[in-house]
Amino acid sequence: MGLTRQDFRDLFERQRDPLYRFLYRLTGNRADAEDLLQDAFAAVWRKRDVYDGRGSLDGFLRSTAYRLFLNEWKKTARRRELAPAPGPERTAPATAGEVADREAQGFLLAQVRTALDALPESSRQAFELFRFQGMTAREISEATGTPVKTVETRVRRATLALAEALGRYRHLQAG
Amino acid sequence: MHDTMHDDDAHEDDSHGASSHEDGRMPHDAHRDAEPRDGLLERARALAAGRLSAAEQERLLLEVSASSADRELMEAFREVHALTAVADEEPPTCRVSFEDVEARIAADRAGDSAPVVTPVWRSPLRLAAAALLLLGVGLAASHFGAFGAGPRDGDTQDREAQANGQAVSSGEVATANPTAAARAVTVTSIPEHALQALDLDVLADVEAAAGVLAAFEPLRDGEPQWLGSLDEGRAVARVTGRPVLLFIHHPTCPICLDLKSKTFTDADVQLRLQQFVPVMVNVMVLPEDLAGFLERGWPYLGALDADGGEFAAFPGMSKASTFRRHLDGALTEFGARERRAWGPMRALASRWNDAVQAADAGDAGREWRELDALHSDDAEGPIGRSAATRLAQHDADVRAVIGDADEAAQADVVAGLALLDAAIGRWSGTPYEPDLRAIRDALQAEGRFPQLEFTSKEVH
Repeated sequence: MGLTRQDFRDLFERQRDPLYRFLYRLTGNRADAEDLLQDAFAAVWRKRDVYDGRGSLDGFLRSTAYRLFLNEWKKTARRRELAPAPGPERTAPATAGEVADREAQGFLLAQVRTALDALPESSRQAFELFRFQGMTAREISEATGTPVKTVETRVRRATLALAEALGRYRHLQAG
Repeated sequence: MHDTMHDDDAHEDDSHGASSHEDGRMPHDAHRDAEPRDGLLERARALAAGRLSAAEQERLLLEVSASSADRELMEAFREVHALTAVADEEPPTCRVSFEDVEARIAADRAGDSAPVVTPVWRSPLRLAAAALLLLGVGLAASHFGAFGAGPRDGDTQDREAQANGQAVSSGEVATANPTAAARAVTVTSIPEHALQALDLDVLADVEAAAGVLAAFEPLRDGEPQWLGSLDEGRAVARVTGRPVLLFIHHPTCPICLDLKSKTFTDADVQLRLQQFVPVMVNVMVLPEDLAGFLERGWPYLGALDADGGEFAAFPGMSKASTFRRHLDGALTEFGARERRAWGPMRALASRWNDAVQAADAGDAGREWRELDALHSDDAEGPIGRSAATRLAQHDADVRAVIGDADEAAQADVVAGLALLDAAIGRWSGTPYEPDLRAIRDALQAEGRFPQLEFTSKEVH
């Protein structure tokens, strides 16, 4: 069974946003994520005759996107930032306490970035996809072509390393 | 494929073997055939996110109670989940439509791999390239039109070539018709009355602070980064809207060493230190005008405003908890002023330095674009206002050159053209360039300086 145009459109409607978030998490960059997103869908369409309807089309799309990411972006050693830097504190005059709260969140974000960047690349990716992207270990396994056990090991190691690195900042958590 | 990525793979459990769809083929179904693993991590995530019912929570806690490793992992995940919430942001909206994908596929088929959705940063360049192309066509038409229109004058051409040297090739100069009105040229790049936006005090502060500020972090690797000069600190304080924390110390003084190793390393103290511009001066090289601070006590610690006025002093040894209160008190005393975040200020200062570097390299086009962008991005801030001042100075300089060229052309058209050619070279790539070229072309075509009409452009 091949992939019809309607199947392809359905796939796009269903997977555009999740795949974009997946790629944004990997690249940290909207334009790059959008570019890879189009490449991934185009690659799946090119290979539509190979699709026999038995495997997971969503998984195939995500693994294709991940492969493209590796090919196009990893080799250039691009490192993305987790999130935009906190905006300038120029909204309204604030009390010292409010300023301190904002500073605390900025400080904590910087520590989180530093701790994530200190992880081995494969552990960082697995953890971020698990923690921020909400993917299961199986989904990460499918997307990255890595055994589930390995994914779990990476997430576990990253978790323990982050707990050690960030534990001292627990008093800065919002709320 | 993954070898380069997995720098920690040596000890990982790879016993299941990697599925191989590196070549882009459909994935094998091995993973799908297996029963989904009800992993501890996923349940720990659900627990941390508050998605487990009370019964599920109880069951999970009972399960992990048998294994200290599992308990440790679950607790660690719960803590890390909470701590990393600050980084859990939704990405900006995806702009890709199905039609974009179809266009990409069509482009791929046609052998054109250009992206269908243009990254945002590329668009202005494309627009600029198109504008330059149009400008080039327009200028060429104007330029070659002048060749055809004016009467030939061999003497003038020779003198012009001599005067211009390597300047822009100018062709022949027409003989002015004294009975005809001068050609009108509309000047869009500069306001008729420039110099309204000069803010030289702010400019001086930014020039003094930008070099330091571009790379300055109040904390790095858990250590306060102290500036070594109060003048530098005051300039940074003025630009960032923060108070200065002045520490007068001696490298071997036990109290100073205790402060550095115990008090300043406290996380809560560091949190507050970031709101100051920290300056540390060795007492052995203390400038004379700071000696008065020592009368407060030893070692001196105090908070100053950007003018150097002290508004809080807390000399001597302080434990972290006491020092936190001192800093809180100083911040309260300083008041709810606008404090500008370090990250954006570093970025703006770095761009300011780029503009200065471009100016030093004689690349006025790059300098102008950077200043214009800074003015736009930080319109009310000190760096944006300084950029506006620099742009206004350029406006004034261009106006002055046009005035000089006008005056010179009254005596000698070629001399006026030479001044304009030099100005075109100097401000190449800026919005002034098309105006200067239009003036120059009009002068060349008519043999007299054109009538200038300034559009009502907002002053920078």
